[in-house]
Amino acid sequence: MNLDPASLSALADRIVQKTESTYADFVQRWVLRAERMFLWLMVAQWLFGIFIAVTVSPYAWEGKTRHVSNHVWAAVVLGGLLSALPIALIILRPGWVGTRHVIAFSQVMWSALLIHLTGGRIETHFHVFGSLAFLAFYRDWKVLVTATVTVAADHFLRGLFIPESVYGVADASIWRFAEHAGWVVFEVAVLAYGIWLSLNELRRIAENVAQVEAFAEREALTAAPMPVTMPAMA
Amino acid sequence: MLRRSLAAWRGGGRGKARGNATLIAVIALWAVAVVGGEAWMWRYQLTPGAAPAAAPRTWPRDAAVPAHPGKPLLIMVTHPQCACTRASLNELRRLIARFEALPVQPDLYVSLIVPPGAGANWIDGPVLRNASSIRGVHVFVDPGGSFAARLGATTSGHVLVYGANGALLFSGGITSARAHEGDSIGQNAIVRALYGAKPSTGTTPVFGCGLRSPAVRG
Repeated sequence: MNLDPASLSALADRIVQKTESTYADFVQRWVLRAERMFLWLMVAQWLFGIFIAVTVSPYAWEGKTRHVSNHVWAAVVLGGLLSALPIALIILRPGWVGTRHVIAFSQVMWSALLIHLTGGRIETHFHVFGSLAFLAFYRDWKVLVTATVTVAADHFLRGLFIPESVYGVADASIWRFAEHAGWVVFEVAVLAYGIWLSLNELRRIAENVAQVEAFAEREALTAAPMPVTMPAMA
Repeated sequence: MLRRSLAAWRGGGRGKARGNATLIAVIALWAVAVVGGEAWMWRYQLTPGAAPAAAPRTWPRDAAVPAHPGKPLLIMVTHPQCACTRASLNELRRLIARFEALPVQPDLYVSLIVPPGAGANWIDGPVLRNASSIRGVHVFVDPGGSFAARLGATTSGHVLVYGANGALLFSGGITSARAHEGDSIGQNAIVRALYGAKPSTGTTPVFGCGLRSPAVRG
């Protein structure tokens, strides 16, 4: 079937619009899926933090006198605070751009709290890198920037005022900060590249869906058979 | 407050702008509270135990544990129930690994203080298990904490190092914060002192549980 130029132009417009709306729908569905994951993660981290505090250091001692350790209070109160707002926003404002940045900030601060609760264990520092991988589920590189800036600001300020809390020594060189930040930037760069590839792939799928649907609609309207040519996958 | 701001946001127009502003204010307040909470946490972590008394300048001849002539000696005083001491013991384990190249290995001791009137199973727990599992470390009980007091220790995790000639080289902690593992000034000072280099310091603050009850400490 031959299409006149006006119909062809209308069909092209329809495909572009449909591509954009399908792409936006795909991205939004991913965002909501990521937020559902973070909802459970926030609850799990809080419970895990309390479990660690209660099992590892339930009490602080002064001779024979004991009192509930500050670790337990930090896990219950600070951990609860860290999870509360992200959970509230996931429930009340799902998909809002601010929700994911609050989650990114909270997730990095959770790393700091868990490192504290486990006595600064080197192994717990991996939580930072795991968190960045989790945040990449959003497929939004700006979320990774928020997390990276939070990590860098936390290290920089603590390095400036209480360097012992990060590096163990009072006279750590500025290169220690650069070394820590460099590893985070390295992972973020790889994740951001992965996000870019994945979004390109998602857009191509949205284009294919839009073309198939537009031709199918057109075919139904004209009730005449029309060849449908699928674009080759790049 | 959050729900109200969301309702305003859903209302659209001016209400939406007002709702957004309120929501951002809630987020800002939350961020300040989180950062404040972390600062409180670190303040606690970086508050050392009670100031120790002066340690003997030479190892006491009549001490509960013998010093062998020509061998350095390292002793850590611990509270058997203190959870923070886990970090000190883990750091002691790492510190000892740095002694391998020393021509003469130091005698290594960990004492467990037992306050007056404490139960029979007072010393049982992770501190005893952890200390006993460190290669080359001799663990002993300090009834009443009198030996710890003689060494001037007031806080669990206090380490004293005496040289081969019996002279005090170091007195202090080997963690950089309470219950916090990682590099510390104390460890570096001990390594330098034992290898004959000039240590950066002879004393460091000790982070951990108090060895004596508040009433006893006075």
